[in-house]
Amino acid sequence: MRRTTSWIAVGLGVLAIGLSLVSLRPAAPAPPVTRASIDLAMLITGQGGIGGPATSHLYDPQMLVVRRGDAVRLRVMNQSLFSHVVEIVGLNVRTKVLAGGDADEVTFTPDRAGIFEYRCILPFNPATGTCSPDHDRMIGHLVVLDAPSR
Amino acid sequence: MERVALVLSILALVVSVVAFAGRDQGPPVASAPRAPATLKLSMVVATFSGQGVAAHRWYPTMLVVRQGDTVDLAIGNPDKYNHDFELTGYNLKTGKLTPGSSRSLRFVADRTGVFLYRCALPHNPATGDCTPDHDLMRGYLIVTE
Repeated sequence: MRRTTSWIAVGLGVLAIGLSLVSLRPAAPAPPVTRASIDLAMLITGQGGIGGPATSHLYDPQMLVVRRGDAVRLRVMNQSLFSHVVEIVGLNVRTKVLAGGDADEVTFTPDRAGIFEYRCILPFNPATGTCSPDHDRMIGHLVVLDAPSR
Repeated sequence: MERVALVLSILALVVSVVAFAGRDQGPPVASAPRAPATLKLSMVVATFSGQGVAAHRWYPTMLVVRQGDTVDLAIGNPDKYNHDFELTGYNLKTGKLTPGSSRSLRFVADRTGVFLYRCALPHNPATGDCTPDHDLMRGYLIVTE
């Protein structure tokens, strides 16, 4: 009886060790997501752009799509008659003050997914030539896609 | 003594079984694959002017499709200069698009990633090829899973 119990104990022990080893197999590493470099030019245009009335100001592009972790370089040029500052709200990205004809460059890597507004943060002031009456409509969106979760 | 060993073994086995049942089996099985779509899209050379500067851009600047989708892209050039739409990574080019001309590119987006599209025609005022802001005529195709 004692021998039998011992053998059962040894057998169970071996089985336990076996199962533990199988369970401890490390998870397959996630396939690396290749980070991309996105190098774009953005315009602030006062000519109405595509289909807009002549007095409207807009961004081209009005929508940017990148993936979380992609490195973005944005070259911004202001073709309008007024001064503007573009800010991507929530990502702490901001150009310098862009007078008409000025250009600036910003670089950033979004670390979280979501939809972020970019807009002019200079309030309309005809006396100083900052922004324009349609200030509140100068809005674009940056869409940051979540990288594949695997 | 044997009894203690037996109890411990059974305990070890129980722990192992629990661990085995909860072992990492990799990502969950994906849901049924969705049917690939065919996307008919347009791409044009958009021109802007102001502050004495003429700007040329591909419009739209961003295209997002899913892997496996078929993209039917009609590319038009309403500009006064020649351009050549090139999608890098997929090795697609329209060839020279003279003012007013257009061409279609049809391809299956079979690889995920971020792919630059640009004008492949270097600026040459003598031949009317592209414009001084040639390097800024760029956009991206994003192919998601």
